[in-house]
Amino acid sequence: MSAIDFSKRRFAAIDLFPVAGALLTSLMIAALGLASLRVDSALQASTSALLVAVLFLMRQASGRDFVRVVFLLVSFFIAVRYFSWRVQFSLRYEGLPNFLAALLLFAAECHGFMMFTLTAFINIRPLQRRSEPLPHNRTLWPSVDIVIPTYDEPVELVKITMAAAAQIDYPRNKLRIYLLDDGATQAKLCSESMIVRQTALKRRKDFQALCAQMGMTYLSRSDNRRAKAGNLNAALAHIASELILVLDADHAPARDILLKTAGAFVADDRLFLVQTPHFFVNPDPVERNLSLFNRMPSESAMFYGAIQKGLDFWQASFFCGSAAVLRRKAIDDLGGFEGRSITEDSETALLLHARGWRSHYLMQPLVAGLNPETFTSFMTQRMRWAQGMVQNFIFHNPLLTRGLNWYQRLAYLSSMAFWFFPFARVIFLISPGFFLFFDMKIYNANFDELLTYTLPYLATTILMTHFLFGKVRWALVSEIYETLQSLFSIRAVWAVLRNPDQPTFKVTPKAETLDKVFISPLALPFYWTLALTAGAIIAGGVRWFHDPEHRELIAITLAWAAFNFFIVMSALGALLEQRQRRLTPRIPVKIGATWCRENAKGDVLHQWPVVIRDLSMGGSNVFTKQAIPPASNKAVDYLDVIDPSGQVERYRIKQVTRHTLNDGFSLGIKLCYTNLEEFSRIVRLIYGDSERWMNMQFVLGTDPGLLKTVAFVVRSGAAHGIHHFERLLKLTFGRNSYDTQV
Amino acid sequence: MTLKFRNTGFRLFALLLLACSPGFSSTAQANSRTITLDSLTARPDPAVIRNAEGFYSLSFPVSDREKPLGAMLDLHLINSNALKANRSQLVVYLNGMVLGQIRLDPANNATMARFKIDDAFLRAGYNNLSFKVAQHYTDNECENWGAPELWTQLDLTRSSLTLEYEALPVRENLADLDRLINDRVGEFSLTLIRGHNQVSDDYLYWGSVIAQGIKSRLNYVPMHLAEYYQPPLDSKTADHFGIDPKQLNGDAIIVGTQSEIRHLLPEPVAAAVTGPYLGLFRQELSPDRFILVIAGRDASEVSRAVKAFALIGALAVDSRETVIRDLAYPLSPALAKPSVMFGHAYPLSALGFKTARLALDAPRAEWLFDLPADFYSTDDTTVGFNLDIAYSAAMRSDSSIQIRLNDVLVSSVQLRDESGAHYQNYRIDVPLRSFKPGQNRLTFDAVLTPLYAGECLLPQRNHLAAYLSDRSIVSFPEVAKVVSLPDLALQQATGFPWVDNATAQQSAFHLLDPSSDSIVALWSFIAELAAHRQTQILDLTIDQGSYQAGKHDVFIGKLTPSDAQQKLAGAPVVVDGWYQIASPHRQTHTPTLTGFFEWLERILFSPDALPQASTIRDDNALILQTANWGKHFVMTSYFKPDSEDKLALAILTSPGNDLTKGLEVLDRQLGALVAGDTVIWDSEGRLQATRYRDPKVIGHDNAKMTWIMHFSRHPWHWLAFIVVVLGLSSWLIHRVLSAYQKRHHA
Repeated sequence: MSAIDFSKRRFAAIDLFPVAGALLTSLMIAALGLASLRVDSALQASTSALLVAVLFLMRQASGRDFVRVVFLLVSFFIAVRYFSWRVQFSLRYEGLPNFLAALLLFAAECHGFMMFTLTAFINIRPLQRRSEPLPHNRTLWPSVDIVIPTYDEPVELVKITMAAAAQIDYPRNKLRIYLLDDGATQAKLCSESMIVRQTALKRRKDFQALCAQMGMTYLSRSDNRRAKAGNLNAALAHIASELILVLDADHAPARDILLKTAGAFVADDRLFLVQTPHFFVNPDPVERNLSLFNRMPSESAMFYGAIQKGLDFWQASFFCGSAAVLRRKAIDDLGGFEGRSITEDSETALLLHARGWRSHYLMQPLVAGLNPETFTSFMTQRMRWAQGMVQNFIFHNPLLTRGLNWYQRLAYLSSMAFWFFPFARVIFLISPGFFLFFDMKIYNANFDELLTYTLPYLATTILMTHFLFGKVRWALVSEIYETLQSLFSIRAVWAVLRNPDQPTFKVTPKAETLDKVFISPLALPFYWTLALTAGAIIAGGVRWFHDPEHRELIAITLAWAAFNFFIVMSALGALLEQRQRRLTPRIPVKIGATWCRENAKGDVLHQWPVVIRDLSMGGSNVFTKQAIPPASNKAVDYLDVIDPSGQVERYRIKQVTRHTLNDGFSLGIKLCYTNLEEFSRIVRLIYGDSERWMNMQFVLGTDPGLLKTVAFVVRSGAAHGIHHFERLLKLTFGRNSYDTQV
Repeated sequence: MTLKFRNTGFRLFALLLLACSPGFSSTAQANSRTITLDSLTARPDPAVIRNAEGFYSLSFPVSDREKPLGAMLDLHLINSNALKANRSQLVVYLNGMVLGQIRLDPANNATMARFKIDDAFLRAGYNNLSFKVAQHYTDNECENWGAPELWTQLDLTRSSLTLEYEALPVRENLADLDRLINDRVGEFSLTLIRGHNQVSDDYLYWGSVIAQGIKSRLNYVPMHLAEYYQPPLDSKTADHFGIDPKQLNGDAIIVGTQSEIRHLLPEPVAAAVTGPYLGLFRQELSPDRFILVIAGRDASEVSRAVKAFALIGALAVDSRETVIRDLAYPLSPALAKPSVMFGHAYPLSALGFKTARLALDAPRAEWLFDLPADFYSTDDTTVGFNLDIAYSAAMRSDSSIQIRLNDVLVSSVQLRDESGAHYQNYRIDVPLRSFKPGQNRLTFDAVLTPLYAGECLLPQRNHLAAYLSDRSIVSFPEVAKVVSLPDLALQQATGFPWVDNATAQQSAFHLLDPSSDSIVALWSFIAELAAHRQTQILDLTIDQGSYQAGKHDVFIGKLTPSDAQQKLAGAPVVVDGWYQIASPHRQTHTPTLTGFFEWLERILFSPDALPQASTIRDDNALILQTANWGKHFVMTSYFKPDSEDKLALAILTSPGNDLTKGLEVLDRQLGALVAGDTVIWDSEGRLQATRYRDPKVIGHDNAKMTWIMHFSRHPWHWLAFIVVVLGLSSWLIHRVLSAYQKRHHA
């Protein structure tokens, strides 16, 4: 061995982490020291401008690891300089009311800064994981129990999920499927209410019949204690496989879900979880009401498309309740699914991480689910998440829970602390009014300081968000969603803080239909907020003329209030519920197929090439260049589709509508089924191909640029906000027209 | 009043009466002195009285050592030719009593009036002379009260006041020291007399403390000191002082140990020196002058006695003489009073400001305060004032209080509420960089307009008033103690670094030659330093030695270049026994780095959009030559050899030149011109200021502010630091993340 080899080996053997850590700590201390120096204004202005320009130029290179680190570190430096100035120079006691208001605003900013820092940390090196292949020897494949917990979802909806689960590609002798019906517990069957008894009994009969048909096991229990966690724990006594695939009632799995996830458990025996993204085929209320669906990345794309990847790097990606495979042994190690909080999924994951178990996040959508249809349902879901995460923060504070690594603590802290955003959001909404209405000194700064410290910080937050999440979350979307949630979540979170054990699990209603356009009953607080904001703007306008020496500050606060006004208007636009009559959503596709017409004997009468444009259990839309006449009574139409394995699948169809286009014909068809087998094949056609979800995600996951995305969201939000008020005026002054879809 | 005599006989009879009167045969001698009125004003503003009703006043002193016999005021004035003679007049008041009145004639508008002032109107102390005009340009009330035609100007240069007085004999009582030594006496001359031929270090110390004691009693008038050695006189008797009266030009102080000055003192006085001794006596040939004896049995007792003299207050000792038994005075905190410390907040009352009424007759309130010499702040640092202001009702909303700092407008308070108001916490912020080291003057000028004004209205002005309470609070921010030295201008303003607040522990003062004028120059210099701090500096190190390690050194006196080479090694004005002259030859212009936005605007929009400020440094030609300074005086400051932060100051002239006179000219006439690290001047008032060497920045106490100052002045260092720290950190973080990824996600 040469001397060089020896020294290299010796060098490699030295653990560099402590050395690097010490050096890095020193450098970070130096950086923090630099950040706290308040140099002259001109130097601060030029430095900030230069650093922001650097961020602006670097923002397109988010894929490069080193560039990412530089970007985030420069952003952090700007943020720390801002906060150093904020703490040292902008907080001043000028009377108790002013001070309290200033403290409120400062607390909200501290939350923002904390999230800024944690977000930068979490997303510094997102992990793009590939699926682990299963071994060639199938005898080594682990056994899997698929559990589908259900509570009050419609049978027709759950049937889809059951049919899709039954068609998962996996050895039958290693696969068992269980339906966990919490809607027909003994307690419900014996309820004093006849309606409850009858509903439960019917539900039980329907599901038992379905399970029998599909070869699944029907499980129920005596009561609904601990909601979903209790349901799952009750099932544990009846299931025994090595792995558990948990599917929500509306999460239809793709055929290859286990082929892509089970292999990781074979490769790593300390792995307790492979989580996959929740992919939704219908818009959430905000996307639908603001006409944003399929025009920009969905709201869940930011979490599943970026943040979970960051958490995965830090070994902190957590169980999201569905679309995940867990190791039975790990669950047993914990004594079952944890259910103290109402987000038992993340709670379970945290405790397992603390016991040294590992998790994976696979960024491939392998299930297709449904978003809540109404804003009320949406808020039910979000408040549960907020309350659950705050409960987790209280019961299992990540900073104090033993067994977690320091990076896991920060990762969980980030996930939990985020849910305190309602407080910050509300404070940001009302703060301009403190100054414009009451001339309260909530932010002690002159115009130069706002330009040299505050503005660069704001620009940095926008640029950093765009850098990290530009492809999965467009500008201003977060503001609209958070504002929508904040007025209700703040009460929910406050209730948890006062009594952490108080919240109860509320199931998110799914598959609702909306027959008419109407204003959400939850709009009232936003009217008040809008009125207050408008009043603040008017007060600012008056002060502009009467208080000329403060015009600069008034202008900045007015701009802030105007921004709030736009956001609240957009929120109101989202609260004008649009009509939605389909029980199952239409999924946009582009599949070549053949329309085949046969006679009663089975002879092919005619064939036409068509392109399937969308699919749903209720029907489909196809495009053809040739006119396809309606079938006679003696003829039967089929649609022949080549599936991913190359086989031709035939589906019986019926033409329902026909529209002539410039370049062809658009035909609405119904996919017909008379038995379970046909039903299942249709399910397989619609939900079985995971590549379809990947392509949809890829198409939407683009970044047209910051300015374009801002313009797009502004136009949408403003237009729908105005429509909301048009509707409101019509309702108020007597014309109750609900038919106009916007 | 004037006396008029009708005939010669009566005049002769009056003279005879006067000759026989006791007053005429008195040994008291009547004196007179004439002063021009402009010598009574601190600032050279023309005395123009405007508006229909106006007011101007000034004060003149009458010394406690004089008995006023009367005065004559010769007043020259000129008034507007647009005035109405029947409605325009000027009334002269003395201490509130009407002295006389004159009509303001528009036709003969240049007037000389003489006012005889009876001794009954005069009093010891400051007498207030005020001029009140009522002037109109119409015969009725339909006129503009503030019309520009309404003016009268007093010619203070030609106007004079002649005071006749009788010098009072000195009362031999130490309680009278404050009455004997004060501004009202006028230019004060005093001679220190020593009884030993050799000039000892103790004597130098005594004289410096005595000079401070004198100077602390004189705020405005110059002090003329002299000193000499009085050998024993053959003509001395036991009951008289052994002093040659021809040597005295005023009051005298005899200082020394009992053995040293026994031959100067009457025997009873010498015998009374049983410890640290103070005794006040009348001069025998000039009873209106005093001899103060400061003595002790040994040097330490004399030192205690001189300190007692410097510290003793008015009315403290009601006796001709006293022996000091013990003397204790606080040494720390070493703060002069009134002091301002950064990082503290003070009510204005604690800093000498009294609640001020701002009205038409007294529209200005002024507050003088001292800031430390060595403060540095960023340009955003402000001094906060929480003002307690009240103003009356029925004032027009364009009334305001203008706030000026060192005569520069820094803020303004608009009194906009016509129903009056009281602001208890009116906040204004003044950039700290607007303040200067040393004395600052903050003035509040009220501009008050009645709500109802105009022609044909009877304007009400008696209510026009604003009040500024001494409860107002001023808050000084934290700063760094950083200063660029040497800086003679800073020294002129603050005495820094030779004195720092109320201590001179960091300095040593050295006399270069034992000539009287050098000794007096040394004492005068120290007295001026103490006057900056408004306190006595008693912890002085003073000798005839050379550099002291660990201290700043001040050298005063005359010496040859060869002596300078030994004693003032490292001084830029003397090198290797040769005189070095610096002559500005060229300049180096260093463009200041402009901000990014300024640079961008200039590049994109206009090359002339914004001027680019430069720093200009003189690059001097240095000439070594043999000619000495002759009649010139030199003051130079430089870093001592082998010292990073200790300076030396040398105030020099050539043998045969009077250094005391040189310092007097510098202090009285040339103080504002002092700059750089070396000044050369002559007794005719010509001065040349140069910088021989680049200054150094020294500071302590606050590393953070030092860094801020450094980076603010060197932006590229700042940028380089950021790039290096962030770049290195990024690289390290990247490496650590890659290693982590390899380890956990292989």
